[in-house]
Amino acid sequence: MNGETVLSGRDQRALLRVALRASIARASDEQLEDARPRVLAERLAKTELDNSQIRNLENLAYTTDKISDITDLLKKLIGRDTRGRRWAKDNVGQEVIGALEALRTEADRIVGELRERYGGAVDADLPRRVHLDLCREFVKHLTAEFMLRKREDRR
Amino acid sequence: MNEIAQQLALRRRIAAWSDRQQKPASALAEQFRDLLEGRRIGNAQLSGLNNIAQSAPSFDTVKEFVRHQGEKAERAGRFEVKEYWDAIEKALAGLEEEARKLAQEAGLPVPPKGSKPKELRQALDWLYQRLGQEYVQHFVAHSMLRLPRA
Repeated sequence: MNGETVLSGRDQRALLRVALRASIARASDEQLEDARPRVLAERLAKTELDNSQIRNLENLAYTTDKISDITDLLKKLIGRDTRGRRWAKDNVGQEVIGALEALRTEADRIVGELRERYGGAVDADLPRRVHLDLCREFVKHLTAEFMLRKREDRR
Repeated sequence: MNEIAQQLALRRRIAAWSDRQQKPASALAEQFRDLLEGRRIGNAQLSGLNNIAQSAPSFDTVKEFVRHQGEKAERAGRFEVKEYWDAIEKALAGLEEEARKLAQEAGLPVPPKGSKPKELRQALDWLYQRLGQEYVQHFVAHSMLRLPRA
């Protein structure tokens, strides 16, 4: 007997959920330290975008189950901005898409670590779902920073 | 697995499939960037395609619309535009096999391989439509995106 407890599949899945939540929270805080959302929000605040337009993006991010829905919306908004006053200004919308897509690397890293500990409970779709969660966190920071900057600019 | 769990699992499969398809759908749109930049395919046509895909009563209606657009372009002598619609038609036709595979993986009742197209269509039309909506959304969104000019 080595004293190790053998966990049931259900227990493993529960522990995985807890570990996932902690990893995503950590990654979310790191996003802020990395300043990427802040820099992009600052640039967006210098466009003619208003709060409601960025809140639409946030609402979609929190209600969809697909990352592609978020980036498709951004592509359409960039495409519609024919005068380059909002999402298309100085390529800022494209950079938001790029930042969201780049979060896949972080999602893969998180799932890789968890796979070592909870192998059986990790399914093939998990990296995508973690990526979606990281996108939600990113958009949340982007929206908050944007609204703060807009308010400061109005003063 | 109870019915709700099965529906949730299928929903997740479709979401994962859709996210995977964004890249190929965007690549197809990118192939025709010159037509989009040159306004030979405009936002009205793209919106028309998206509206049909999102609201058509059957997948055949979507394919029929695309075929009709291709025929119109051919009659007008706009062969490069015909090529564009042909490429979309081919991509949509490929989704039927994708739907069959996805349904099988999800454990849904699927007519066996070699079944008559009509039987397959009756059983899987809703899934053809669903995948078509996802694919067309990606294709149209990427087409609308104006990439910075070199």
